[in-house]
Amino acid sequence: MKHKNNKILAIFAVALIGFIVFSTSSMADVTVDIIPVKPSPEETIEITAKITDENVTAVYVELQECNGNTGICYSQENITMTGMIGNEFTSSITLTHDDATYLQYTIIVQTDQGWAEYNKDTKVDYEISAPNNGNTDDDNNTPGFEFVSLALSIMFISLILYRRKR
Amino acid sequence: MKKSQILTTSLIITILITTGLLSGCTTSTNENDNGENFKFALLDGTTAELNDYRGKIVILDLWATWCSPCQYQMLELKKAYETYSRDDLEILSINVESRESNTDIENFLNQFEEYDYDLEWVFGNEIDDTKKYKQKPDSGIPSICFFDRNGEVIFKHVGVMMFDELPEGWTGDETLLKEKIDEFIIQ
Repeated sequence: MKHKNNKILAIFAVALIGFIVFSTSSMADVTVDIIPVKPSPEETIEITAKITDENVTAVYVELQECNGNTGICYSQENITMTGMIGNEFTSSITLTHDDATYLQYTIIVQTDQGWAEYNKDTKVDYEISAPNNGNTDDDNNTPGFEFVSLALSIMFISLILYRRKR
Repeated sequence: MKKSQILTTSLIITILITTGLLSGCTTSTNENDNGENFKFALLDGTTAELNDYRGKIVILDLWATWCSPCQYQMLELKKAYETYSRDDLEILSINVESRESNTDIENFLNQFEEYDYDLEWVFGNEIDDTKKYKQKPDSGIPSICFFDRNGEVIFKHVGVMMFDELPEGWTGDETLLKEKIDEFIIQ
């Protein structure tokens, strides 16, 4: 009888551990495609997010447009992404600022476990030249604001990604 | 009338006149305050107002953590903060992104600290709408607004403002923070 009780306890413990492990499993993988790859200002883009999590209830994209030459950013409200087949979510967005030189996006996924952000503040350059980077043919070219801003942004993004991996 | 009575009457009259004169001096200065005011939430959870900073030039910096130019603006504001006395200048960096919390702001500040940039001025989250302090309500960020010592709006700007020097190849607005602060501080 004692052996049987111990066996039941052991099975229960293993099941409990298994439940804990699977219920706190790692965040989903999110792969994002944007068409066109290098948009132009005021163009309509198609953004698609492929999500590995099976329990997705809603997906949004946060999108900001920025001008790296003048240092101004504009935010859009959260944009709902429509669920397609195979856990793909998509949204068609018309960019609104004719002076923007890049956009940033973050994918927000809601599951039964709550909200999570993915690809936070990922930057996508527009298909335009950046005049403030100076004469690109000049070997003594001094980087302009956009380079400095990009460098600073990359520094922060790298720090965030490094912390997430740890 | 006896001398003592005259003296007593004179004393009473003097006290009454003096009290009447002094009562004007104790009138609240708020009645004469025609400056702007708005409430915002500090990172410790308490509430502050613009009129807490009367008597100083105030730079209102509207920003969000996701905004890279806003991050660069912080570096230029730091130069201003370190150049001028607290008696003359205060900076309020108010986050205008409703989706960002005090924790997001604190994490943002901690990241700057790790690179030895201590951003020590006033940071907070929006309570009252601050759109009217932008150049236009739909202007982007960073947005800068100067208030004079009486809380009146004296200058608005959208986009990064350099402190005292323009980077090589800069094609943005050439208005400098230092020039504007110097202009308004002596007024």
